[in-house]
Amino acid sequence: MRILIGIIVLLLLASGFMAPADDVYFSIPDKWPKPAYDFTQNPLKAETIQLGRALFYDPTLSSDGQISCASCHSQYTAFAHVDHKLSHGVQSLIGNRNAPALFNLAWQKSFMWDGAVHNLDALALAPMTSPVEMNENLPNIVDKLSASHRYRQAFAKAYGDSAITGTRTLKAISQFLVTLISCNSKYDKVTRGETGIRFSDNELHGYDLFKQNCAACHAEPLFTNGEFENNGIGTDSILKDPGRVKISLRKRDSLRFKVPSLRNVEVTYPYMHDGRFANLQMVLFHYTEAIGHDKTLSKPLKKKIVLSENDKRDLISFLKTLTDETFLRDKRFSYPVEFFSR
Amino acid sequence: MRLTLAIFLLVTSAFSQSRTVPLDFVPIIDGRSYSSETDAKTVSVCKFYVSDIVLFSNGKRVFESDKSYFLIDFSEPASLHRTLAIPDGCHFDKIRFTLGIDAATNENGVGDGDLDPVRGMYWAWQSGYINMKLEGAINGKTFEYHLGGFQQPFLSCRAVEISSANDAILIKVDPMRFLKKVPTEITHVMSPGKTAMQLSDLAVNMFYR
Repeated sequence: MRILIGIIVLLLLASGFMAPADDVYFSIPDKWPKPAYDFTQNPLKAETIQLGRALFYDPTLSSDGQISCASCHSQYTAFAHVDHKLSHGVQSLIGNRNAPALFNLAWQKSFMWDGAVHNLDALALAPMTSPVEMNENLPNIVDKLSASHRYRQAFAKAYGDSAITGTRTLKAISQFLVTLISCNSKYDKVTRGETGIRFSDNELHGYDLFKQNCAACHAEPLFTNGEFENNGIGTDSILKDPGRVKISLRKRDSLRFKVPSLRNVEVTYPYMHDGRFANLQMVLFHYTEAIGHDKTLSKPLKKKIVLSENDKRDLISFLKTLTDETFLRDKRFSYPVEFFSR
Repeated sequence: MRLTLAIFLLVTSAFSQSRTVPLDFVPIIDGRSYSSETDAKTVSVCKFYVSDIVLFSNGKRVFESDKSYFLIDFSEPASLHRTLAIPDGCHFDKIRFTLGIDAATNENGVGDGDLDPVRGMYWAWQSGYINMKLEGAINGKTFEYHLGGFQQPFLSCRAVEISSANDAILIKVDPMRFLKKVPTEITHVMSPGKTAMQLSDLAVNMFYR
């Protein structure tokens, strides 16, 4: 009996000494690399994250008050614009690229399909000022926010004084964006060895096929190598998108686009920079039957990929294990009802 | 009494650490004073960053500003008059500054004050600072030169060196000294690249004493 009490006391003491979660808002998942984002330039603070979250969901940032970031980046589909090849902004104007999913952004070294944005703090400026997206400009946005008592209060809580500047607005949005971490899919639970969670035989086989055929570019644990690659899909005849070369001005970057992360790929259709593939079956058909061998084709794709129909089915089963339900439903990232109801 | 006063002055002067040096930019057009009423058609926009200021004496570095960034704007008179706090007893005869924003500052993202993208000197579609904006019309032809770019090999900020008096720094800025050298077929530059580099080399000619 005394031994039992002793053990219980020890356990209680031990639980008292267990460290709380590293950081409620941002922590590096086990065995992941260090983030690229420089937090010293923008230290996380609860009030600033909440301000950024409000800004993310607020259509006042657009010229007609209709389009918010969330209009094309919807949480339920990993902050992508599901079922839209290209997104539409103000006045239903169409953009020229598929809206990427937003998660694990602190690990990205560049942003946009062609890496046009080099720092997360500058990211929101692009959709904000694009005439076919939100069609606004930063001085107007600052004016709109400054006229709002609710925002003046929120900026004061975040920054100590109610001065609303372009930089503070952008950095608050960054703070919210870096908290969007997706690392709790079935794949993650299996990798962490959580009890009771195992791949099915199909999924395990799919994982093997993935490692053989896809991991050169879609490397674990981020499921992207963060580089610009040409995967042989060729240019769309109407959009004529040249890819990374437009930014780097280097010929070898012609038709190269950023390797997207495959996390949550099940819910972020359609696929590719112009959303041309409606489903994963079409993607796999491309990789096995239809790769165009132009000059800048990525090296790992030069050798033919052979997958039977069963192989493809298993590979897709594996890709579905990358869906992170907790991320898709995490209330911390959803529309901040409390903020807007004040 | 006089001895006390003398000692007091001696002691306080030993503690005085810096002197303020005015740094003034003077808008000029074709050698004469720029007036926004009469010259706005020729040069409607002239905005540029001045950063990383270094002072020299006889070729030796005697002062470096700690990352001060100034956005100079012909249409905002207040922006033309700046000050530098330099150590007392520091003498100089030359100033060097960077026309534009260096690569490291660009890599860090967006900054405050004069570096706030709200000032209109930050590219949204391909992130990075615009070093200089010059817009207007010559002989009926409009021009728009937005010079920027910080990623190699198209880093286009440039060093400018001007000799200076020791008590005040006065820098004349005459866009015509740059515009006269630009090849006539180049009327618009709005992105990083070879042309931005070429024009950035020429832009340093705008500044003189």
